[in-house]
Amino acid sequence: MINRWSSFSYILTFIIILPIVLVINHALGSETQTLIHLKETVMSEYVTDTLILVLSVAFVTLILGVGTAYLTTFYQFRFAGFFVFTLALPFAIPTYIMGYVYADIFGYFNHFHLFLRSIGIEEYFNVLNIYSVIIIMSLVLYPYVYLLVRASFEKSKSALLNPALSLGSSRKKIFFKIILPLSRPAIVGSLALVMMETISEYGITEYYNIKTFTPAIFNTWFGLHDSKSATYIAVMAMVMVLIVLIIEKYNRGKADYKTEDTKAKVKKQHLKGYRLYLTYTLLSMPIVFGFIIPLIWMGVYSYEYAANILDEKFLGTLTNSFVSSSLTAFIIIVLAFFVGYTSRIFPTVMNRYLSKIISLGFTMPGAVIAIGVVMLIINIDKWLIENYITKTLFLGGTFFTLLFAYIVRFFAIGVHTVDSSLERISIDLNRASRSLGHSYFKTMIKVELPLMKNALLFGFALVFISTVKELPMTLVLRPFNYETLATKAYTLANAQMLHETSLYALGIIVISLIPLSVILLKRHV
Amino acid sequence: MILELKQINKSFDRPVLKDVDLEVQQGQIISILGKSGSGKSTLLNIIAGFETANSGSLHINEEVIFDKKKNTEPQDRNIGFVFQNYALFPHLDVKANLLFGVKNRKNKTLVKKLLEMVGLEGYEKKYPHELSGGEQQRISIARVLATDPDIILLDEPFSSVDTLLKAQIEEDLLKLIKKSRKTAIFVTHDAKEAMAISDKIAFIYNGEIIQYDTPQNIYYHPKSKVTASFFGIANFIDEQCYRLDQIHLDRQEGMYKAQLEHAVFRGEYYELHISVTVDQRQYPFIVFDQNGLHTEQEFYISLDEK
Amino acid sequence: MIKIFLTIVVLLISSNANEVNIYTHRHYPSDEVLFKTFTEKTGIKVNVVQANADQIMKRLEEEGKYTPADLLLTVDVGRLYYAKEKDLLQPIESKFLEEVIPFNLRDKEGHWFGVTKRARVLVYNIDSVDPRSLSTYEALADKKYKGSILTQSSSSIYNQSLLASIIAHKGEKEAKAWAKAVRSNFARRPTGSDRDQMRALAAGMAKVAIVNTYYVGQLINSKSFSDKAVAEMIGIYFPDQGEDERGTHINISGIGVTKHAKNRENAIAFIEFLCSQEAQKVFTSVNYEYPVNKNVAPSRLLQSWGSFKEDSIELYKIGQNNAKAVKIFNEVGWY
Repeated sequence: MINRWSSFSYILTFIIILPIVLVINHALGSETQTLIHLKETVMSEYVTDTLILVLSVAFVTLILGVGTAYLTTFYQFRFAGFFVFTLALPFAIPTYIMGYVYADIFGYFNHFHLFLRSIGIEEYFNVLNIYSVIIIMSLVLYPYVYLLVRASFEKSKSALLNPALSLGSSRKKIFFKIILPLSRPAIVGSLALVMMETISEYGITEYYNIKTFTPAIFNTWFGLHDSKSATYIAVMAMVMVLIVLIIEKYNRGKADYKTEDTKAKVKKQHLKGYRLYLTYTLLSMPIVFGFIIPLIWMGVYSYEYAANILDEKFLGTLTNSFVSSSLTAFIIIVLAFFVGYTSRIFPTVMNRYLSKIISLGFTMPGAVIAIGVVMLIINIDKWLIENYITKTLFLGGTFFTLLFAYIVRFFAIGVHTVDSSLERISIDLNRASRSLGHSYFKTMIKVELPLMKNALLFGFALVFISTVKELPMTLVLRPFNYETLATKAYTLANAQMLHETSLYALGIIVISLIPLSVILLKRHV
Repeated sequence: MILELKQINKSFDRPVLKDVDLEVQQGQIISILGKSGSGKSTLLNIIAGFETANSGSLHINEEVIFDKKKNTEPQDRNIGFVFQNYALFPHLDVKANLLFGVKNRKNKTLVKKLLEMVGLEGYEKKYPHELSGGEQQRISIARVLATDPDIILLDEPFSSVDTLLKAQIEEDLLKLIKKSRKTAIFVTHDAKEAMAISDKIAFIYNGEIIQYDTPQNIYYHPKSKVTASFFGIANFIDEQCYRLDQIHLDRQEGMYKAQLEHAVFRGEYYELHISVTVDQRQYPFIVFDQNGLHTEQEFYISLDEK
Repeated sequence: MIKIFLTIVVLLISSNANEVNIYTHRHYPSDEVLFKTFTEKTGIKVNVVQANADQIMKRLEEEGKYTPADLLLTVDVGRLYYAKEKDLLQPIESKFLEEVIPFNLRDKEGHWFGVTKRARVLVYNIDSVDPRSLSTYEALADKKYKGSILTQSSSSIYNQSLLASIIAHKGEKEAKAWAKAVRSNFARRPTGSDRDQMRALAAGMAKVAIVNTYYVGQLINSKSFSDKAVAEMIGIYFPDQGEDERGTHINISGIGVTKHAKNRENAIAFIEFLCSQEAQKVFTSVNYEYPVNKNVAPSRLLQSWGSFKEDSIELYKIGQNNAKAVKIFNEVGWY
């Protein structure tokens, strides 16, 4: 039986995956010749690099994310609040900018190298390699894990209070036996985002020449001019991620991850002595390398240029970024909440996999999605023109196209944050509200919405920042003369105008701070 | 009749409920009793409207609320539901929880009355996490009573209560429901509990209600051995079931001769495993003995018919 | 009702202003200056979308006859050739362009025109290499360069063009042998930009790097102290200058009018402006590119590197061989 809720969810999913379907459809009947050529030559390289990069980044972000979330949730120490906030900041730095910063600092004949020479060390080392990419991407992406897992820890830490659970068990045991398993949806959800974003990353992999699937797609599409085989590779990447997600879902089986949400205060353990300093060191590392160093770099370079900060062009660009990102984030969160709620109240098989399907766009490189979006929008436009409704392109090449592309691409972030939080709220609360006389819709507004307020704000912030940083789709799809902070920073970096680049990069950080501050400075987070 | 279920069927991967019929009269307290996986919770969810049956029909106050053509939403069934974990809204205080389902907010004294009824005066501003388990339960019942439902459904209301407090809470709850004169349906896996609180018990086994009767009838006249043994020690002579209180032991005389197989010391009494001879056939019995018969090899028993 | 509403909205947003719309891959400061100058001189507004040429061409293709774009501006000839193949461009006639742009730097039928030239040259570490020991691209295949060559990855369109030119001159087989030999002489797995190759070169990691000349210009005029130092450590060598040799490989940054251009006249005026003396001087002095206009001399900096013999192959042949070049790169493992 399909009801109104589910049908809306299906239609929405259909619209969002339509660009991807169009691209895949394009790939049907691949030219086997190209595929054989790739298989005989570079495919093994592509697969190896992709696996190494994705697995390593997943591993490092897991350690960094869960570790930092653990320390800041369960321990009390001076400046803890400062760390809670700053640990999220590396996420605000675009990966390609970070790659650029580290190449500029540690590359040959750059600052660090010259410094070594000045003190008589003639050693040099190559930083433009896969290890740097692993570190850089992990630094940028671990906040996904940190933020989502921390929110989950905050919710489940009351297990420490439960006398039945803590009877005779040490804190450590409770953490590993109860809290960590309770946080599994958050861990898996955030790692899925990390992996998908790693696969689809283009800027830094191209610059450092790491042969993941994304450069492979570009090489095949634009170098060999075989869009079919290129899409085939893109679909392969998607299937890989899908398999991982399904295995996880299957493994999780019927285990119940619901806990009662409480506001109970759990006494945090105080850290003293060497453990305090160890904690400071551990927490500082990702902040220093993921945020402070790039920030200093930008500060130093943009210093001379700072007078131009009130330049009309800069403010216009800042406004563009802010408007597009907040619109995208708002729409995605509302829709993702809706889809998540629907699969909660109608947990059919179809509905449960809907959120997985809908988030597939995230594995595709932005540029490929952009092509799918163009195909879709232009076809709508052609229909409008042929039916004499419009005369010229009405949607194509407008801000609407770009907004739609952002939604397609970043829906996964919304879905994962919403889902991992929704899974934690007992369905009984929903049923209680309904048996007390409220409709599904009213229940959503009165029960789930207030209980998920923080999670939705998280989702909003993550989508917002991702959109601010977005580059490949913005470049191709934007209207004439439309610039965002990201496109400006990229263009200027390409032209080696580091002073101006760093100013725009700083702009990205500044507006990313707005939603981050809202979620992190709230008392209950 | 306030509630009538006809031929309810439900299956997930396998059939969970098979042709379930159930009739409940106004003001009755009913228990749906069965072990876990018997389908009892599914049945309760179907009555509440949280789950949809594959076939059959459901009537409340002679009105169809579910059949082939109709499926009334839970919010329109006027059924109150008390959840196993109480499901109090953690973001709302007690007062807001109580008023959650109340359409007419003008009645200023309602909250006060409800709290008085459950003996938690002055709790308006407290949040669920500040309450004990028993208090949460009482609030969740008050919340249901606030909407004046036709029927109250209670899903294992005592399962998370400390055994020491259980008797007291059972009694309190029963008093509350009786006072409100509501029809109530309990789901439980505990036969003793079911007998203590219910006017009638529906015993559910493998998705079928195999007996629906008063506690006394179901206890003394179980229709099957499964039912019989679920309610406590049951001894059989052919199809006839005898409970412990129907069996009298005597050294010298009685209806039948009994031989002791072995005895188990249980503190207040000895549990005797005996073999009873009726018409030259042997029947295994388990009986309790407080008179020192465990030292005898042979004695007699007499049976009461009920 | 909806129709009327939409029509009104469309009327409101579609202006018939005097404008020209460009899809460009170029991201240089010189261009912004030129767009502004053009508007000042003609009153024609210049609207720009700057993006990767391959992707923006796909957008152009999908938009079909409704595209708002009048011009496609790329940084290499391969894309222009492909755009013509895909029927995305239209021929134009311009006496001025035919007069000032050499025959080999434009399309025979007028679908595209070079705007600037860029030479792909060898740069060497002045400490460790005697320029007299350098000669041709082919010579880089020699075993004596083992572990001493730096260049970008094969996804660099400039490397693709270079190999395509070798295919055009000498055939696939020889080109493949060359790529394979050069690959085995790499100092490291290709990574980074042309600028990064020169930085590593200056640090002494290798002897020779294959780069575009304007990147050398960028380093020389960089605000960064270390980049200036890099520029001082390296020398430029134009390969294939011998009498019977074909000349240094050049590529163009070029432009064409889109097939469905709405502002065709403005577009032609814009191309003519880009090839005018005034604009060409900006390209060579601000962006260190070589002018295509025969009558414009390279900037003083470019002249200081010396004049050289250019490979005069008709550039469309490079576009023609681009896909083959990518295949060869894949086959020899030049990642």
